[in-house]
Parts: sequence; structure tokens; C-alpha cells
Amino acid sequence: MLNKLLPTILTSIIFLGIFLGVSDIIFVDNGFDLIFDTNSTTSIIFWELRLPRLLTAILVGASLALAGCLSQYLFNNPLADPYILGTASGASLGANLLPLILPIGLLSTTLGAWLGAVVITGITLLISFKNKHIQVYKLLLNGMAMSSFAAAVISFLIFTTSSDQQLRQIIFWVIGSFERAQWIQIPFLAIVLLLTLVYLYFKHNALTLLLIGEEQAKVMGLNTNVLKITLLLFLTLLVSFSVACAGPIGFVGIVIPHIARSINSKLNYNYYVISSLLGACLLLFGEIISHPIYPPSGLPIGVLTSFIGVPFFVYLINKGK
Amino acid sequence: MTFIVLAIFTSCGGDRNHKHTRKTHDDIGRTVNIPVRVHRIVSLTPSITEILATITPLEKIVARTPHCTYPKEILKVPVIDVYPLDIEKLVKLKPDLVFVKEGFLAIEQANQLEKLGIAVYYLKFNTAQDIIHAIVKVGKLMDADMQAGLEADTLGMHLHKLKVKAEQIKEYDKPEVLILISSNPLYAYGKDSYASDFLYYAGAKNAIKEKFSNPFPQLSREYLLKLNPEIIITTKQNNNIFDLYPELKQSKAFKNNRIHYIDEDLISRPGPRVIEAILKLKELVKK
Repeated sequence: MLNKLLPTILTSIIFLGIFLGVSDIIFVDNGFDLIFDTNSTTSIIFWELRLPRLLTAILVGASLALAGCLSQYLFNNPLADPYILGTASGASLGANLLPLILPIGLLSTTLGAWLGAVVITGITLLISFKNKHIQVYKLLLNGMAMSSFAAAVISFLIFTTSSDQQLRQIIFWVIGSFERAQWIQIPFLAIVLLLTLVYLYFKHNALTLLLIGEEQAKVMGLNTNVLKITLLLFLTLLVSFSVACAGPIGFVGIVIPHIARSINSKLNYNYYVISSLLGACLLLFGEIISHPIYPPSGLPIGVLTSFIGVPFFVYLINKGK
Repeated sequence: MTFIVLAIFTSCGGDRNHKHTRKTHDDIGRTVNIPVRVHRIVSLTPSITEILATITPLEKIVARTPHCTYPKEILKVPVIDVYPLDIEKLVKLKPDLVFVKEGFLAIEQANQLEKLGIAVYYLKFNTAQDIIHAIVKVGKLMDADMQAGLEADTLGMHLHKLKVKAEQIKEYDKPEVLILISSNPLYAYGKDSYASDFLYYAGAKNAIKEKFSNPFPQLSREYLLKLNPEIIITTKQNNNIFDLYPELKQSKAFKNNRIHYIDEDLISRPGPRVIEAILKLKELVKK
């Protein structure tokens, strides 16, 4: 009963979170009226900065958590995180390289991150193909290799950079933040998330079969190769857009699926929905409290979510379920 | 005659392993054994290099960091890498004394250098007055009291004149100025930084009024928009700020066309060019 109600409860918490996130603006003198006065600073803060930031936090949290579920299925390994294919390192590399070639403001960082993520993941996938089949163990090792390569290039950039600003830029990007949130990014995140959830709605039974074992799944008539390729495609899209919009935020993708599983032990569609909503809640509340904790910039979101989530995760893992 | 020759040899420090030293305390309270006669110095901080270049002959400076680029003549001095510190090269250079500003070198590395027989002296200066005191202190250690005193007196006199003029401006007439260090990510000179002191002498005030744990805080876009400074001063490389953050076009600074640029070295190195930096700020604030 609780499991069925949980998505509704979590959705309500998200709406409450959005309200909390903007409440300081609404409850100041004439704050609510000023939101609709397009010339006021309050209106710009509300529409151009605060709302895109909160919505990005929700969508990135949900996407990373869902990507975590997919990678744990795909690799049949509870330690598999969404960045296992080198996506995060590729994004970090792209985000730092493209603005040097194409300086078009914040968007060049986002575009660079997305391209970096897609290129590195694409290379990982291509070199893991053999006889039209993807070998999962090769995917894992190639992902690690590509990730290490991209990380080495970033370290080289950090070491050789002569400008303090460039150094700060690289470090800031690697930590992850919602400061770069823009409206233009939100439809991309939302569409990819929605498409993945729709796909999972129709295919979650096939995924459960894959988890039992690839050979058994084949015996049951499942085309595991097509399923794996489709999963990899969604995984790449989810992670690349998330990382492009917010940087490589750790923890969410690996831990949230475990928390969701401890709440909803059955591997049904509800599991994906709960994972996504939990990921959204974690990053949303992390974003809301990060600013008062460490003004004026706010504490990096990856650091904060780990502070909040790790004790809870350790408790869940060790409580004996 | 023999005595004179012997005295010359001793004073030149022919045997560096047996240097005559004196005990002193640096600005962070460490006890440092400094040779009585300092002949070879290394500066690991650009602002200290500028101080040294003002009061001692350049021949005494045996190495500088890649960032030490002022005055022009200093470029002839060999470079030593500081991030990470090239300890091997530093030892080979056999300096009598290494100067560094607090925060520019880890204490553990300084202790390591001391074990290798190289004295490390930390200086700590933040305000314009501190810079003057630092010049006097370096002068004493370098046996250049006269030159340092002269430089300190000149700077002190200029500073006094600027202070008198600044005090004539009423508090509410002083414009609120934000000095931006970097645009992506956003970093600025905070209330506790030396820039606030420079702005005071320039007849203005720092737009950042709260104290943060970091004297050079990272800002959020929202904070910057709420701050709404009257004037933004930054360096040329940050001229993309309005492309990056279009919402800042709503700020008073943008609407009144009060975005000004300053030479990065001048503002980022609080050294003997302090008066030059304050006068430049004053000129920009008055525009």
C-alpha cells in the first residue's frame, strides 16, 4: 500500500520543495506582486535564476537516479554507476575544451560537456562491439580506460594552465553545480527522462529477465542485444544531458537505486518511478539548503548530497534488509 | 694584511655551510635563522618580488616565479616553478633566504627547505599600510634600510594625502564598487580583502558588505544581481560577463555604463605599486 502511495507522496514533496525554494522571494515585501513585474530584480531572480535552477535540480536528480538503475541492470552489478562508460570524464573534458575553441558563453560549456560525454561514450561503445554483439565486461573495462584517459587530459590541463581563472573554471566544473541552469536546457532533460520512463514502462519485464541472466533471457526469447543497445542509448542520453547541465554530480546515480530498492523490494515499474523521484528530491533539497549553508555561492551540490545521503545509505544497507 | 684578507673572505660568505645567522620571527610566528648578510634571495610571490626589486639590486634575486613579471628587468632573472615547487632547482640555486607571502607555500614545504639549509621567511600583508610595513621589514632583512625607508616614506606620504581626501567624502556619497576577479566562475574581492582598503583610499566602498569565510568569495548569480553594484571594475579577460549572465544587464552598473577595466597585475598584486593601483581605482570611480 505504502509503495503504491510513495510516488504520490514523493511528487508532493517535490512540489513542496519548489514552494520552499521560492518562499523567501514570495514572502518578502510585495514579493508575490514583484514576480510578475518584468522590470523588477525579484522577477528576474524568480523566473531566470531560481526556477530554472530548481527544475534542473529535479530533472538531473531524476535522470541520474534512473541512469543508475539502468547501469546496475546492464552490468548486473550493484557497484555500477552511471558514469561507468566514461561519460562524466568525457563531459568534463568537453566542457573545458570547447569554450577555448568556441567561446559563446555558458552554452558553449554545456554544449562542450554534452559533446564530450557523447564522444567518449560513443568510443567506449564502438570498441566494445564484437561480431555485432556488445560484451559487457569489455564495456566495463573500456569505459574505465576511456574515463582514465579523459581524466588524465583534464589533469594535464590543470597542471599546464597558466591562468588562475581557467584553473577555477576547471575545478568548478568538475565539482558540479546548478549555477549554469538555463530554461533552454530543461526541455532536453525533460524529454529524455520522459522517453526513458515510457520505454521502461513497456520493457521493465524484459529488464528483470536480463537481471536474472543473459542466457536465461535468450532462452525465454528475448533479443538481449537490442535491449542492451537501447539501454545504453538511454543511459548515454540521460547522463550526457545531466552532466552537460550540472556537471558530474556523484553519489546520486549509485546510491539512490539502492535506497529505492530497500523501500520497494520488487523490481517492477514502481521501482524506476521511486528511484527517479528520490533522486529528484535529494538534489532539489540539496540545492535549496546549499545556499544558506555556505553563502554567497552555496556549497557544491555533489558534496552536499553525499553529506546528506551517505549516512542514510549506510543505515539502509546495514539495517539487515 | 692577513687579517683584512680573512675579513673580506668571511664577509663574502665564501663557505656557505658556516653562515653567521641571526634568529628572528617571521609574520606568521615561525622562528627563522637568517644569515647576517643576505646575498642570494628567491621570491615565491609576485608582490614580494616587486618589493625586492624596488629596494635591492636585481643581482641579489636569483630566481622568480613565472608570474613575477614586474618590473621588466626582472624578466632576465631565472624562473622557478612553484606549482609544484621545484625544490631541486631551489636547492641548486643556494639562496640565503626565500621570501613568500602567507598562503603561497605550505608550512611543511617551508620546514623541508629549512632542513636543507634554506631559510624561509613568511610575510603577511593585507592593507596599504601593511605593504609599507612589509617594505620596511624586507629592507631590514636585506640590509637595505635606507632605500626601504625612503620608499616607505614616499608611499606613506601619498597614502596620507589620499586618506585626507577620502575622509572629506561623506559615507553616502561613496559609490559602491564591485571588483570582480573572475567571471566564470564568479569570484570577487570580498569585504576582508585588501581591495576594500584600496577602495577606501580611492573614495569608494566595496559593494560586498558581509564578511565571508573566504576574503575572495565565490558569488552566485543571484547574489550578484541582488548586490546591484553602482560600478563594476574587472580585468579585460572578464569582458564576457554580460554574455555569460544576461540578467546582469538589469544592474545599475550596466544601465549607467559603469563597467571599467583595470590591469590585472596592478589590482592582483598588492605591492609597492599600491599608490598607482589606488589612483587608477580613483580615476575609474570618478569617470
